[in-house]
Amino acid sequence: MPPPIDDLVREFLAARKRATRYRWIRANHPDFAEGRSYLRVDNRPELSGMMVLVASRFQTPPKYSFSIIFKSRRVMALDVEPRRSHRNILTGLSVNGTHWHFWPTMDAVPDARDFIHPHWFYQFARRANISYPYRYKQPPAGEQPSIPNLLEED
Amino acid sequence: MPGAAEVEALARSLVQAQETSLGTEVSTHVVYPNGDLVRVNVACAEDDVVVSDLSLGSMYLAEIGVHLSPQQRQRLQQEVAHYTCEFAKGRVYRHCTHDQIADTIALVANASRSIADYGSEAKRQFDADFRVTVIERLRNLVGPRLREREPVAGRSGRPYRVGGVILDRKEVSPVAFVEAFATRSIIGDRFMAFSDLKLSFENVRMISVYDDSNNWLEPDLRVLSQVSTVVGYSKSDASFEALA
Repeated sequence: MPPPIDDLVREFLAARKRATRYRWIRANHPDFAEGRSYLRVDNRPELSGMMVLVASRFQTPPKYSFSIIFKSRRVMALDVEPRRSHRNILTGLSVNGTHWHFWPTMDAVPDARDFIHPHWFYQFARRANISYPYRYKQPPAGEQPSIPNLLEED
Repeated sequence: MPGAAEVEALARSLVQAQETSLGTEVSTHVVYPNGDLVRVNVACAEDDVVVSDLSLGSMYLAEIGVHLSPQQRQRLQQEVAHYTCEFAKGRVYRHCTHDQIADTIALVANASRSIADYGSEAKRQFDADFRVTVIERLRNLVGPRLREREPVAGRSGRPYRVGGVILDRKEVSPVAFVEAFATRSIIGDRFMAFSDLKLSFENVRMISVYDDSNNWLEPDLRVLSQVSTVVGYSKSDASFEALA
């Protein structure tokens, strides 16, 4: 009988995870770039997941997210949205600025700090116990497209 | 009991607009699956107005680990077209005139939500994730005898990229073809591949490794067992070590 998912998630999040190198991809979606990195735990092949980085290319202030996906679930995330607020109907809360999400509730936990992307990446990797031994790569920037040519290639 | 005017005022309070560098961003009454209100952008240039979700629906999918295949994108284009919107390059949008802005905001917001809703039903890309796990384990066992995503032709002549090809000790001939299954979404393709490959490679073992931490239907495993040896990942030690 497989262990309950909650136990597996906690074990995965607590374990030291090795990440593969990510690269930024903007194919099929010029508005944002996405990077994926696979996560492994030494000697525990069943504990494998994915780190997903998403970065908006045109929005000001910038919008970034860092997510850990495990067994088809988003189990930890950092949504960087400085000076921006949005309303969540299910929680009844207004989420202001940057916030974290942690398994199992995934409720928004605010973070008032103001960092650039590389520092947020470092914060996320440290908090998620991820070892990323490669050179950090900045998300690709973009120039705001003119209207009405919003969908032209860069 | 609030009167109609008060109810209307309460309902309107959800809608808020703010100027941004890309136009006017509007929060709407429509909700993504995680509870966030859908926000759309209204951009005006002379007589042309474009209302779009700035790919927020697509970003929602990316953040939960969903990649859209060309077929899935095509299907979503048809869904979005129900709202008289377009879905291209990740973005939901609709051109309109000034007096159509309110209607178009509603249409684009609903279309964007339908993109995000797809994340609830899409087969997530964990086949790739699980495949990497299985391949790495095989690599630890057989080292250079493993060829990953090797093209191999079946009896029909059709080529297939086999997830893991295990060669003999001389690294010349295949002794096993291994495929990893995180979910049932790729069973059809791999069944066809194994069926065709078995006819050309009678002495090669076909092995299907499935992620038994997920729920599987017995009929799916029986289908795979018609063309391969089916092994749950947590019980795969003996099968893998036999390949070493």
